[in-house]
Amino acid sequence: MKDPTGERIAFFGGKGGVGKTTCSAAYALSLAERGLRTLLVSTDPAHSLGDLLGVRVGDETLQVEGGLYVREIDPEGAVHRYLAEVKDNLRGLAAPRLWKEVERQMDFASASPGADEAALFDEIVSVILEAENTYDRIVFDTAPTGHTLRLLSLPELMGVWIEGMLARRRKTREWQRMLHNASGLADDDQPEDRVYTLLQRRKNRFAYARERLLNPSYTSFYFVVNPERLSILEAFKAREMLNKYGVSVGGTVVNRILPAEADGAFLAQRREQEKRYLQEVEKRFGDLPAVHIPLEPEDIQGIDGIRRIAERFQRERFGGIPH
Amino acid sequence: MSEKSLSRWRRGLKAIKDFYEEMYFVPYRQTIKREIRDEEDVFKLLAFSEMLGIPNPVSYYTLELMPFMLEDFHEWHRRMGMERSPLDGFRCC
Repeated sequence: MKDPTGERIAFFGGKGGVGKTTCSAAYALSLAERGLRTLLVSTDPAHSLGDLLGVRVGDETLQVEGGLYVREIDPEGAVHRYLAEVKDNLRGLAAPRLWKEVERQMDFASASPGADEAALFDEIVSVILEAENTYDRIVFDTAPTGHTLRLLSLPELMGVWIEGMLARRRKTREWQRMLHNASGLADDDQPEDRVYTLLQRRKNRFAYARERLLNPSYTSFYFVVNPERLSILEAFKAREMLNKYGVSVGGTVVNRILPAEADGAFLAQRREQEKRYLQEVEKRFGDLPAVHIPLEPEDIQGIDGIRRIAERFQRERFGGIPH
Repeated sequence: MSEKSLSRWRRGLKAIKDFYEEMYFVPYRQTIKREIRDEEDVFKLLAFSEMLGIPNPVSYYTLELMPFMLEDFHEWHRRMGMERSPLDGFRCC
């Protein structure tokens, strides 16, 4: 690990519409401006990164400026690539008369609700695998909270299941070896078990993901909230879940705070209410570093728009941004 | 005893030895084969439980095992006394 501060992966999460994309992009920019080669990855199926930055982002990595690179994960494309590979294997192994039926079955399976999620997770692991050696930091702009939490709990659940399958397979293998010996055949002419090899590869990928995502000095999760009740509550629930899974939470970004210069009786009243919510944030997240971002009179758009937020991140050295 | 009858004796003895060995090994091999079959059936269930309506958290990932397990599956439903595949989603024949 070449980064002295240790942290390599940051996830930005929170309720829908609180400004995750804006804040994660600003964070990535602030890292890039400090000379860290940074990859910003959007995992939200409803990508808005390209719209924010005013560029066409896709599955291919795109250099936005300096050390800032962006990419949008496309789970559907990943499903297609995976299926193509499996079908290819099928054609090599099964009789042609079976192809059509089995391929039909696969298309159904890939349309099942869990498939996109599994593919997305697999892509996240691939991104980390590929980017680990080429980038100093990886920043993930995630989908709304619930979705992301489930995603982070996947390696645990799936790891156990795959391990169970591997254990069965090993046992079968052992029996087969005994049968082999009892039939007076040599020990070494057993064919390679492809199923076992594939499962082992899966298991290694899950283990790889767990090792990184559950390492607090490697991966941190940041919450974006608004001074508004629901987003705070949702983030707090998510924080408890992350604690349960063992994912470290690195801080909160309180986005869209009414600036002091906003005037009028209406806004004064809102500011009163906001104060209570800020206290709520303090109560629930007070032990973590926090950054306050004021509401701006105009929409935030493009690199110049997020630069103002990036400067704030840098000033406060939020989330391990170096000097 | 002549060289010829000695070798006949030896062959006879070997036949008896092989016979007894087989007496021992046949049930042994059968037991092992049954164990392997049972293990493989549980494995199939773990891999493709989704088709039987049992939720499987890794069904997307076990899809890649399918090409390597088709033969096995075919053998299974024949053994279970079903001429054709009983699963709509898995037509191997």
